[in-house]
Amino acid sequence: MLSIFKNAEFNTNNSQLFFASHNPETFDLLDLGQAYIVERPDSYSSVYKLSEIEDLKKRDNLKKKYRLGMFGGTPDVVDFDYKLKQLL
Amino acid sequence: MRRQKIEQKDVVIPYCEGETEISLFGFLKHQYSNGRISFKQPDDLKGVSAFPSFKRKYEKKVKELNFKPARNYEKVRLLFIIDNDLADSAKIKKFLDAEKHLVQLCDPNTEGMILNIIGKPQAKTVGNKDYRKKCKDAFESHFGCKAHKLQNSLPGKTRFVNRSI
Repeated sequence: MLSIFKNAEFNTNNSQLFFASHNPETFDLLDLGQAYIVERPDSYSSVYKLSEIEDLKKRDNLKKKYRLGMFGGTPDVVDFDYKLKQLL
Repeated sequence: MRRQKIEQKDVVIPYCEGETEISLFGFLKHQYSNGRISFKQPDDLKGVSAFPSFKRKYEKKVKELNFKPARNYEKVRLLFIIDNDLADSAKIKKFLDAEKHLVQLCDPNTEGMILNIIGKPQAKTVGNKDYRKKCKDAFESHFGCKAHKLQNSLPGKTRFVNRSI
């Protein structure tokens, strides 16, 4: 679907598409200025484009860096419910 | 007004000696993390013994990460959590320090450290030649299971979900 929107032959009205995704594969189809990261570090949310991230190039392995958490926007992945604490 | 560039985040990937160290890491992160550093799910080294076997495991893990070019991943640090009372603990730490990784040696060992945390420190007695065994026995006596079974021995969801990078 993204490819269709990016193809001027199909998207003759220059329509825009806004969508939310957790799938980093979409980075392959977007420019740095088209992908936004949303994260909620505390009681507020922040939104920024990949193009606003320092030293980031389109040729970088964006999917890998995203999965590593280098851009933010990934959940706190330690989903351990701290059984040890219950024993204290 | 032009927005200030956002720095890429610091990331730490923990490599734990085994299940016990994963339990300890989960607890310490829960208690003390300030959220400024992003931690990945800890990876289980499934035991660390002598230096040569550790080095083989280390090289395999680093190869899997495939951090090339290295300058792109300078913000990512590897953290190794390992017992301090292994025969090769000092050698392993020296090696990891030279590779510029983070190392936490659990002193005297992870069971002993957990017992310290819960207020049951095991005194080093003169003539106690097997302090490691003493800590493990005390742990089993207190928790009713071996340390690596701690997560499984308690009700509810306790497991980490490992996600590939």
